[in-house]
Amino acid sequence: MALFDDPRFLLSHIRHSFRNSDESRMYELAMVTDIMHQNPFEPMRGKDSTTSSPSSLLSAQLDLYSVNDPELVQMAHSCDIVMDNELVGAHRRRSNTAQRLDKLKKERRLQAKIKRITLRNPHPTDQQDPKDGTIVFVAKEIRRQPYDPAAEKKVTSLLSHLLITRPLPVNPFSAYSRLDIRGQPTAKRIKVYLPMLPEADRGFPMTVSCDGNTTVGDLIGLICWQYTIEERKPDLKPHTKYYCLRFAEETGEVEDEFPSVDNREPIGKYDFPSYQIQEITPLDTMPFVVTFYMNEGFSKVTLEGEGATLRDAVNELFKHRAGLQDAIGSDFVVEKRTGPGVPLSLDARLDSFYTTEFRLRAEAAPPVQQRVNKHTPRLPELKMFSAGSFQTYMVQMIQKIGKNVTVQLAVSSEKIEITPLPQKSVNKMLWQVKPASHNMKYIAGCELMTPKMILEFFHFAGSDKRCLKIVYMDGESFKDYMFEASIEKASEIDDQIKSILQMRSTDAQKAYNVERQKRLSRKPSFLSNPFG
Amino acid sequence: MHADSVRSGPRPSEVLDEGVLLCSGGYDNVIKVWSAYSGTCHQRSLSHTESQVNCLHITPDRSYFVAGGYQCVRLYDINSKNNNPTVTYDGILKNVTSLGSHEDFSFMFTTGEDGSARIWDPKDSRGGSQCHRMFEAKAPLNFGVLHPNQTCLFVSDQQGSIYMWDLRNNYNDTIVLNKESSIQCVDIDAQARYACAVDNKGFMYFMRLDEPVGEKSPFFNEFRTSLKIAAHSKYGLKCKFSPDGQSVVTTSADTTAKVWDVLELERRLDEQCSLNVDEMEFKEASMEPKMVLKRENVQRWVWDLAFTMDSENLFTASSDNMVRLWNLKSGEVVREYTGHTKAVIALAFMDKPVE
Repeated sequence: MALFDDPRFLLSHIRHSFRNSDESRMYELAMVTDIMHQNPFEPMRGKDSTTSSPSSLLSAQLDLYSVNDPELVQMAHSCDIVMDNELVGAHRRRSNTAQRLDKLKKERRLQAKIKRITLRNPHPTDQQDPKDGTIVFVAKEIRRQPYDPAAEKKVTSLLSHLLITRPLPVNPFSAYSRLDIRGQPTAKRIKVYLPMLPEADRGFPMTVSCDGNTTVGDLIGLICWQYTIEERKPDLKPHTKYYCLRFAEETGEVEDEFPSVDNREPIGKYDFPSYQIQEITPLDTMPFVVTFYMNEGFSKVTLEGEGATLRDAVNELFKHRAGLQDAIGSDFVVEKRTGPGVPLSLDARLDSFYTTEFRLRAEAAPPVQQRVNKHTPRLPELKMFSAGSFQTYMVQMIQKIGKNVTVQLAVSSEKIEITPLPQKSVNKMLWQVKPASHNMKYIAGCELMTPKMILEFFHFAGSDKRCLKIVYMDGESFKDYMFEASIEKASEIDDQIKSILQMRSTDAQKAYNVERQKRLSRKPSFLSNPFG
Repeated sequence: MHADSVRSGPRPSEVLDEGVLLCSGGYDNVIKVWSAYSGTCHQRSLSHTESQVNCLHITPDRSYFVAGGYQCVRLYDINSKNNNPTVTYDGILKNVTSLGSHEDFSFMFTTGEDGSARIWDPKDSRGGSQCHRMFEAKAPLNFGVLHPNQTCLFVSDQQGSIYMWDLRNNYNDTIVLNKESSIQCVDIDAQARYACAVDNKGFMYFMRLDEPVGEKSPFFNEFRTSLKIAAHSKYGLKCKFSPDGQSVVTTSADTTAKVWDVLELERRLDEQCSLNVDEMEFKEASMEPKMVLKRENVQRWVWDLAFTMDSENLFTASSDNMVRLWNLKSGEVVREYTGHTKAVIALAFMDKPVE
């Protein structure tokens, strides 16, 4: 109990109680600041020490803070208390003023390190003592030698030597190097974990600096570039399409609930502590569909790979549509469907056009000769010869239910394709036509219907139109399409399909002919003996 | 400030071109120290925040580089991680247009748009040094180059003149190339036989230098005929003799760098030469360059150049944010140094011989 008389003990006791109960650690901070300010109290203590009033807490405190007692000073510091400013700051920020002061101090220290040289003597040359600088300005003798080619080659630059003897491997990501802005104050620094590294290095992220506007796709390129430059192993796959960026925890663990970051977004949009780059199967398998519109109709081309150029697409089109190239000639122009009259560069990447709809046309108007030929009867051999070429026709498709629908009928030696045009009608569900493609193998026949035959089925009276029936094999049974077109067009289609069919006799044709023969042979018997 | 501008990842297993230094700077206020061989900038990239970088110079001992900008000249330690300069040189009023040094770095010179050329003692800060000097011209100065004798400074100004300033005795001499144009750059070959200059009209001037006999002797005394060649269609920017003295390269705003054969220039000059001329005369001649270095539709203004010591390769800095390394035999680009975000206008290169 006697101890309670001792103010030092009391203070120390209070302090320890706080230490045990104050979880906010406010107490420790307060104490450190206190101790730091003990010196200004020193003179006051000197005054106070004359009055020996133990009841005064101030005096007791000041007494306690007397540096004379090393043991107590020791006690004043909890062993947890670290004087280092940075460590204190780790759990509690200091006041703004303190921080600003610290910053100023740092800058001043920095400035002190920089040597300043000012030209002290700004007078023009004529006022200068000519004897000045005679030690510094000593002329060097120059030996002028006649040019000797043999002597010239004695020096070899290390750089030139290296360039010849050690050619560098090509960095496939070098195009992204321009994005690297390490060292610039505006740089956004991004920590990236690299799971492809050996186990031991995986925990250490690579820091990449780029602009906030950099898209994630470009950032992946930059990461790959920096990885390659730093000669990290194993080597990366040579294209950014094999990689994606995922959000990661500070520890490098991927946040599973988030998908990979969208490659088109600027990285500045996100504020994650770190990211991880992951290998993926490239999106190449995702087809890229391009539509080419031509004089009559259109055709769709499926391409793979995001780097495809317009030329690739056109070549693909020609490959699929045999004969189209002959028809259109070697001089053709591709334009945007929305921007006619502006020829596009064939070597530009498809994704640079921001559209998948193009128009393909011959450079000059097609030669008159060809046009005439179309309508004049051709030699049968010639007809056979050109029949296989790709042709498209706009025709009306006659449906059993609902009204006629305009479709594009594409005929080539390989297949027949039916593509409906976009419908404006609201209740399109009723007579929607599904696009269809039939291999020529399964086309059984083609017939031009006489008006009489048509009248049997439909309320059709137009004399300038013809109906065309195309029969195809669907599994075991035969089905047909009915089209309506102008007389000329219908007979042209009919001619073409017949010529193609004639060139290749298929099972479907044979089966259909057999069936038709049967039907025809049955018909007369029906007429002659209707109820038999 | 940006201590981690130095890479934190593992370093390449070996640095093959240690000691070969290439620095570049420009309007993006960034100075980059490149690995000239690998074409990357992982050594240093520091921001020169106060102004653009007009000119760069590497000290002969390879440990510092000096950058000149608007009203400032700063000396940085190449190998330090510190992005702050080690020394600043104060007292210049306008843009510093060029800087260079004595071959032992016993003094440094700057030229400025304030019309003065200054000599600095690069190490002394007390001001009592004997070598602080200043030379004032009538017009803003564009460029300065030290004569190979290390004591005469040649500076060019915006009113068509070249000044020769002898530092030993402060003697100076002027020749007027063309009053109507601004002389952008002047250079002297390693054996001090010739001087060349380019002006803002695209003309190249090729002059023969005398061997000075005694003190206060002018350089243009004996030979008073010089060549004037329409080298570029636009603004000329820089000209430089190759270290072997066999060629001159001029760079210009017409997006090209042109290589000229000195032997051919010599021959032309001899043809034109007439003795006993009182005044300096410039004979216009037409000549084709030995090689034109250009990248159609890619390269823009070519601001600066630097040779490798064997004169086989050439660096150029261009407004398309790119530093390029050209092979002067094939005329092809061997390396491209990408990383600057704005025009690169200053280059400094320090080569090293093969051991």
